[in-house]
Amino acid sequence: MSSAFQSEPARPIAPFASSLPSGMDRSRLSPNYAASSSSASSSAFSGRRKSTSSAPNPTTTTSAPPPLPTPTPTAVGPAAAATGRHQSETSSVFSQTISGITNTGRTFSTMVSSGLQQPRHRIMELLHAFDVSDLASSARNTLSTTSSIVFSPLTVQAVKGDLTGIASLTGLSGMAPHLMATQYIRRATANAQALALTGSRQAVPMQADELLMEDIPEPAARVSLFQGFKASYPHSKNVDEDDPNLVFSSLLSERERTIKEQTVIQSELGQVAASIETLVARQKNLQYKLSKLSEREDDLADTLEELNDKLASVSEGAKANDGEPLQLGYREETLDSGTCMHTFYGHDGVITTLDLNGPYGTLVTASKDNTTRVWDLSTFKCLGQLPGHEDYVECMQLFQNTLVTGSRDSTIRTWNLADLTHTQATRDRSPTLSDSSSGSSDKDSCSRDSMDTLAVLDNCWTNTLSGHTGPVTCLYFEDQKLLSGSNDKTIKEWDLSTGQCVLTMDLLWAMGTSNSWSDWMDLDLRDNNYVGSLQFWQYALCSGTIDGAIRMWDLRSGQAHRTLVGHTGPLTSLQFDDYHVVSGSIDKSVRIWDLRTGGIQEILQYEEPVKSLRFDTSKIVVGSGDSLKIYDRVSQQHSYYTGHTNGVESVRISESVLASGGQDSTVRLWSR
Amino acid sequence: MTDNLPSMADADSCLSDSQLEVLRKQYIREGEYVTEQTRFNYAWGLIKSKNRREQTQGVLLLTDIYREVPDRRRECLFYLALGHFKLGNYNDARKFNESLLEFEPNNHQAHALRQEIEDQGYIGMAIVGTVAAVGTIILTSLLKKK
Repeated sequence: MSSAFQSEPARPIAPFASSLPSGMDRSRLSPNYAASSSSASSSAFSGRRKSTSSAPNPTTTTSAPPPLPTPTPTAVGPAAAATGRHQSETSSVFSQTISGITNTGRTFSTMVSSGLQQPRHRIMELLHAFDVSDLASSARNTLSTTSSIVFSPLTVQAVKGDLTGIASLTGLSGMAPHLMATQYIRRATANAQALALTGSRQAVPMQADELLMEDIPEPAARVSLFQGFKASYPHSKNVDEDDPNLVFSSLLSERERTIKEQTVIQSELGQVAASIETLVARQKNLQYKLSKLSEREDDLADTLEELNDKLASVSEGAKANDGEPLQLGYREETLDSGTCMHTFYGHDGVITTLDLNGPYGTLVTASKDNTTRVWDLSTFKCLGQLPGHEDYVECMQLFQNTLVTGSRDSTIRTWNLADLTHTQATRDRSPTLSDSSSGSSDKDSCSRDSMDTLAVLDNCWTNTLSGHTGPVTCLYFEDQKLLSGSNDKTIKEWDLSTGQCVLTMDLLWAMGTSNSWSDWMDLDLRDNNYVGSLQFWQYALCSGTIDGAIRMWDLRSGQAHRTLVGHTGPLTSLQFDDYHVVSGSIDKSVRIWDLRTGGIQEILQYEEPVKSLRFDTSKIVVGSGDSLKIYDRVSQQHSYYTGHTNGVESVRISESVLASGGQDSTVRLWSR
Repeated sequence: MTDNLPSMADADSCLSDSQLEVLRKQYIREGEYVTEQTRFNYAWGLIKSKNRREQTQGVLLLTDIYREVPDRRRECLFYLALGHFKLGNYNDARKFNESLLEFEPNNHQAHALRQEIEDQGYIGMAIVGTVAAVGTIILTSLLKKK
């Protein structure tokens, strides 16, 4: 080592020999220092320090600079030789340079040879150093460590030529601890930042030996980290089917999944079974009801037959009159109650109202197609239509031959239908009575006729009563007194002989002071009528209004003296007799009130809003939904007549027949 | 213990970026009081990746777990050995593996890892030998020219 160092001062470039040696030496010293330390550390890795091993190394590392000084002495030589005058000095200089050259050459050759021998040298000394027995392992160790140094990512800078990097990384704890530590920490913290640590942890250099020196206790028997990883993220692994561990875990997860599916399906099955049970129960219930109804039907048929027999016997006794009673008997013999005897087709719109004056008399129907038709119930023929109203008729009443209609055009018209039957009779005999009726004589062709060929009965109109300022929604007349209710929130009393309004009752004021159902204010008057229905008898008027209240008025004072509250929807229909008031409303209920006490006697609940009702001593006919609902007051039984294909709008009772008009534009005649 | 440690093939299989992101998010989300399982999951995911930097991160994280959780040290020996092996620190890998084998001589994953390290050692030695030989040849050729 000393020899190597000593030979070096002779090597520097000759002209600057005096000035440079120290500087060059110093610069040379540090890499030598590093080189020696690197050699020391590499040997330290194998666990043994070799002082002799460091000897050849400086020469190897410094093998790069030597080629440089060798050409320069030759350049100096000729320069020295050029000066002939100072030959003695030059010769001395020359001899010095020659000696320098030889020294250089010698050192160089030794260096080269040692360089050549260097790997062998190293191996040789290593071999000498180690025992023969673990020669292979130690050689392998050293070489593997060398290779690990060379190829490790942490020494990537060493590969590039950063000697300080090698120094820091190769465990230079003894020589420059802080140098190594700071380098290490800097790199380690750079890694730690990428880990997005909270900053509270500082990466400390990984010293395998240090770590291994720590106590390694027996692990507690529980789930290993890897099992936890697999449990948390089973899907994140590439399934290698050959590996039994993975197959097992995948089978476990599959089993769990199938169990879950099983429970779900079982719960579904339970639900389905429950619903099946309820449906079966419903089916039984309906079948029972059906059987009861058919029993009742049979009973009624028997009763009817008995009555028919009685009537037949009676009518045989009274043959002198027109054939109508016979006809009556004939008709009733063949029909059970609830049978639709006839359906009147012809209207093009929803039937709004209808009335009839006897089972074999005249039926008048009005519809939203702005027509009012007159039908003959004995022949089921349409006699014609009544012109005059500008909007459709909302309410009407037919009493014998007087017809009064109230319309949305705010007028009330009175008609006389007495002549009609005469013209009808004459028309039958002579088909060519008028141009418009030419095609309407045969069968029921009236029902299939268009509006053009329908007879216009313009001889019937008698009077028009104007005064209302809104659609007339309900009316009732008796003798010469007519009462009408309208959407202009008034009820007017008219004298039919003069055609004048004699009294107007303001509803808004009366309704404001009562404690009825309060949401009526939000209702639209296009869908609900302000005054749904009214009826009077002498001086007592009973009205049903949009607020669900039934008011009793005294027509002499014009004041409402009583209010029956109960309905929660607009009243649509109302009728009273000596003892009871029966009212129907949009709230799907029919209430029977006792007139003397003012209390509710009965409430009939339906599934659809009640549009119309009529009652007599034995039954109440309610138009609600698609079928006519019949409530037998005597037996308190409910039954229904089906036939309409859409909602029923209006019902009327006349002795033995029921007439109903519906939204399906048909009018049906039913036997009671 | 065979079910508790991954196989070598599993160690080489790489997680997808999204999966690794999931692990990373879970690790960050747990903040200061992160559980050892989460740390391990993330470290394992990092080690499995092909990226050198991530592998180093994983090894650092595992070292932390090793230092801080004495209960898990034995398992961590294996993972540290695996991690260092993947990085190329065959010496460290061997040390950890040998330590594990002292505790559990019948662990076949540890034996498999030891075999792998020995193979790598042989390969390393072969590389260094060829490099040295090539260097010698070059030097002799240079001298001969002179």
